[in-house]
Amino acid sequence: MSDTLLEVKNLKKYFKTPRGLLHAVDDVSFTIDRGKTLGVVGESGCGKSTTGRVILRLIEPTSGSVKLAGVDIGALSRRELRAHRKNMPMIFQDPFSSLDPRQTVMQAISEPIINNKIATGKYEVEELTVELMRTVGLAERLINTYPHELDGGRRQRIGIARALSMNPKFIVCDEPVSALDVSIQAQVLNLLKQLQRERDLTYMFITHDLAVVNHFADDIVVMYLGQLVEKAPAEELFENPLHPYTKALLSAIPVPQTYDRPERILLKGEISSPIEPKDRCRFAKRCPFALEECWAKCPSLQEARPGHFVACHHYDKI
Amino acid sequence: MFKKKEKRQSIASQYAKRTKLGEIWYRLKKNKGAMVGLAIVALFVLIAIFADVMFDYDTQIAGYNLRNKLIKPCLEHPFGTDEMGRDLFARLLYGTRFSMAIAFSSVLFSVCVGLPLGAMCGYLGGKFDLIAMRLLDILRSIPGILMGIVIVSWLGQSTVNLVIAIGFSMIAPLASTTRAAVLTVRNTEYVESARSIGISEWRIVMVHIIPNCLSTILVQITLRVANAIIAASSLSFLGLGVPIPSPEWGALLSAGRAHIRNASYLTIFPGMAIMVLVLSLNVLGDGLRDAMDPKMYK
Amino acid sequence: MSNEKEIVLSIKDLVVHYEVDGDVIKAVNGMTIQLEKGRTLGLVGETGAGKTTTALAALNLVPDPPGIIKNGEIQICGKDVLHMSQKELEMVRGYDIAMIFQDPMTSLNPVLTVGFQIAESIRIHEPELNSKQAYERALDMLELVGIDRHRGSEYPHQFSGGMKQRVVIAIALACNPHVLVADEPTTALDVTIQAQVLDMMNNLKNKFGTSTIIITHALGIVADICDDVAVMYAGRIIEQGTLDDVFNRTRHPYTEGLFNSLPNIKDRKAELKPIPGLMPDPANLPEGCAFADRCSYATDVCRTKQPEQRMISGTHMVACTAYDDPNFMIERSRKP
Repeated sequence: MSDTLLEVKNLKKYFKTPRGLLHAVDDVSFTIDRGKTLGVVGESGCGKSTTGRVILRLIEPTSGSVKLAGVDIGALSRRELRAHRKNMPMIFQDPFSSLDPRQTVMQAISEPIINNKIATGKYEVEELTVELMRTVGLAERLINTYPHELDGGRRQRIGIARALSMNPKFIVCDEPVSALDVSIQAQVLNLLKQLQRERDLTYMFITHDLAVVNHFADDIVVMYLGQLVEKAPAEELFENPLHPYTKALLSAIPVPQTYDRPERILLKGEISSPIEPKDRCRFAKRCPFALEECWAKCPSLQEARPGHFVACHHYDKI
Repeated sequence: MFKKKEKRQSIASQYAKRTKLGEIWYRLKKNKGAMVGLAIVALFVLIAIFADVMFDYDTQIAGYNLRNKLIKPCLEHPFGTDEMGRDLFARLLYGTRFSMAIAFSSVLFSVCVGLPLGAMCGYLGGKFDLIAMRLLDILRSIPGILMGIVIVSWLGQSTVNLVIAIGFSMIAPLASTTRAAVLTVRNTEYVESARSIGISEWRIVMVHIIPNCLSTILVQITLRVANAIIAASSLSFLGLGVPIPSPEWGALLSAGRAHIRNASYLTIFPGMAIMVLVLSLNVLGDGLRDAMDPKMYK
Repeated sequence: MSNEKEIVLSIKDLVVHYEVDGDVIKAVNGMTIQLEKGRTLGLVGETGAGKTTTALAALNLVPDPPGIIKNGEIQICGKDVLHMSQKELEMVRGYDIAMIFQDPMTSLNPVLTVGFQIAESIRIHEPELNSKQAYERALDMLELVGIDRHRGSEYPHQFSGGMKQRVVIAIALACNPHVLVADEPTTALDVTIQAQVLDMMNNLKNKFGTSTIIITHALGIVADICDDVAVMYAGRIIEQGTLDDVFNRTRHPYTEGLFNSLPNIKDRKAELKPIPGLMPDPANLPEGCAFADRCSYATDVCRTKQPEQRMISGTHMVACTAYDDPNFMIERSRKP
C-alpha cells in the first residue's frame, strides 16, 4: 500500500448567493502520498483555491472529510484546530497582499515560530529566523526591511519561510508563482523543489499554469466548475488526456517555440458559475463532443486506465 | 549563562539603524509641519499643567473687578478684559487646562468604548455586528447636544459628567469608522495568512488588524478632539458645562458672544485658541500617521 | 517580403525618466525600434523593463509629472508625435494608433452599453456618420471580434473577462488604426479564453493587416502571433529579430535565460535554470551592461562598457559585448 498523507473524501462547499446555492466545491475526493506533489489545475472560478482553503478549514466545509496523517481535520475543535495549523500551512498567491505591510521580515518569519512555540527565547527565535532566511535564500541584511521594499520573488520567499518555520510535512501552495516574473518564477519553483527533497515535503500545488504543474507535480487533478473532471499521474495526463476539457486546456498552453506547435482545440463560450447546477455534465455547454446523454446526467469519475480517472460519459469515443 | 547572553547581540539589531520608536521619531522629525504641531501642542500641555503656578485662581481668574470691564487689548491686558473686568489672556491660558482635559478625556473615553466595539463588529460580523450597529444607529439619531443635556442633567453638573456626556455622543461615529476600516483589513490575504499559521483571533485583531486601521482611526481621533472642544463649549453655553467662573474655552467663547459687536476680541481670541490647538493636533496626527506607516519609508 | 519596407511606427533613441522624491528612475534608456506595415512585433521583457513606458510614449501618454521624455523621436506614419498640439494628438490617438490595456475590467465605462462605447469612438474619428450608422458599424465590429450583434445593447458587467477584452479590441479597431499597441492583452484571462482571444487576433491580423505591437512577458504568446521580437532589459533592447531569429538562433544571454526559466512542456523532468539575481534597480543602473551581474558569460569588460548593438544578419540585432570574440556562442545556440 502506498503511504497516504492526505485523504480528502466527498468534500463539498456550497455558498449562499442571492441567485441560489453556489456549488464551489462539489463532491471532491483525492489522496496525496507522502513526499509527493498533487497539482490542482483549473481556470478561475473552478473552485481550486476554495478546495485548498476548505481542506485547511480556513473555510468551513459544507460536508465531507479531510484526513491529514490520520487526523480528521473536520473533527477538531477550534482550539485543537489552531494548535494543528502548524502541520498544514499555506503559501499564498499574491506576495504583495499576503504579508502584513507593518511587519518586518524578522517579525513576519518569527511570528509562526513564537506562536507555535517552535523556539522560545529571544535569541533562539532569532537564530531560527535567520537560519530560515538562509534556507529560502534571503540575505541576512534584509532582516529589518518591510515587504514593500522588496520585490515579488523575495516576498514570496518570506511566505515560504513562514510556512517552513513550523516544520510541516504538508503545505498547500496556492498559485505560489503566478504573480512573479518568468525568471523569478523559476527561482521560486526550484527552491520549492529543493525543499521538498531535503525535507520530504508533501505539496498540494494549486495553479492555472499547466506548464508549471507539468514540471512540478507527480499527480494532477483537473477541476471544472467545482468538480474533478480528470485525475491521473502527471505524465499520463499530459501524454494521454481523456477528458475533452483537459485536451482543450493542454492544447491552449502557449508553447515558447516556433516548431511543433500543437493543434488548438478552441472551446466555445466561457466558464460560467455553478449556481444550482442541474444534473448534467457541467462542461456540456462548451464541449465540442457533447451528446444527449451529457445533458441528461452528470458523469461521475470512473477509472479509465489504471490510476487514470475521468468524468466523461464517452471519453473512449473521442 | 548570564554572561553568554550579555555577549550576544541580536542579529536584527546589528542591521537596525534605529529602534522602532526611534524610527518613528526620526520620521516625524523630518516632517516640519508635524514638528510645529507637536511644539504647539506641547506648549499647550505645559500651560495646562503649570496654569496654577502662573496664576492665582481666586484673584486673577475668578475674581472680578468691574472697574476694568471691557478694556480693549493693550499692554497690560494683551487680549483685553471681559465684562467682569477679568483679564482674558490669563483666563484663556488657565482655560487650556479645562478644555484640554475635557477634550482629551472625552475622546479617550469614546476611544476606549468605540474602538473595541467597532473592531469587534467589523471582525466578528454576523448577528453581533447587526445588533450593535443598529443600536449605535439609534444613538446616532439622537442629536449629540440633546444627549449631552440628558446625561448631564441626569448625572448632575460636573466636569466628569461633562466628559462622559461628550464622550458618549462620540462613540457611534468612532465605532463605525473603526468598523469600516477593520472590514477592509479583515478580508486581506495577510489576515488569512495569520489565521493559517494558528494565530488566535484576539492576536490577529491586536497585531494585524488594528495597526493597519490606525491611519484611518488616528485622523478620526484628531478630528474628534476638535469636536469635543466645540461640544464642551455648546454645553457650557447652555449652562451645563463646567461650573461658571471656570474659564473653559467654550464658556469664554459663548460669554463673549454677548459683546461681539462692541468687544469682538472676546470671541476672536478664544476662537483662535481653539483653532490653533485643533489645527496643530491635526497636523501632528497626520505626521504621526505617516511616520508610523512603513510604506512611507524609503 | 519586399525590399521596400514601409515603416508605420518609428521610435528613435527614446529616453524616459521618472523623477520621484529626488530619485531618477531610468525607465527607458535609449530605445530604437521600427514597426513595419502589416507586421506584428512582440516586445518582451519582465516587470520594470520599460515595455509599458515605451508604449505610453508612443502615444505621448507618459504621465508628466513624474515622467519626462528626455530624448528621442517618435513618428507614427511620418507624424512627429512628441511635438504635437493636444488637438493633433487626439486625432492621432485612435485614428493612427490605438492602445489596448491589460485590464479589460477598468477600460470600459460601466454605465454605458458596449455598443454605444464602440460607436462613440467611431464617431469621434468619423464625424460624418450619424449615430445610427455609427451604431450599426459598432455592431459590425462586435461581430468581427466574435460577439453576437444583439449583445451591443448590454452593459460591460454582463460580459465576462474575455468578452470584455474583445470589446476593448473592437473599440481599438473601430477606426481601423494604422498601429495597434496591445499591452499584455491576455494576461488577465484564463488559458482557454486566452487561446480564443489570440486566435481572434490572429484572424484580424490576416484580415486587416493592422501593424501591431504586442507587449508581453510570455514567450509562448509571442510564438503564437508575432512576426518579429524585441527583447527588452532595463530600458534597452538587447536582442531583436524575426521570430525565427530570436527563438531558434538566440544570441543574447538574457534571452537564453528567459527560455531556460520556462518549464519545458515536452520534457517534464528537465531542470529549470533560472537567471540568478534580480533586475537592477532602475534608479541605480550599473555603468556597464545592466545584465552583467546576472550573466554567466560576463567578463570585466561587460561591467564597465555599455554593449553596442550589433547586426549579425539582415534582421537580427544583439547588444552583447561578448560577441567581440568571434568564437563566442551562448549554450542554447551551440551546435552539438
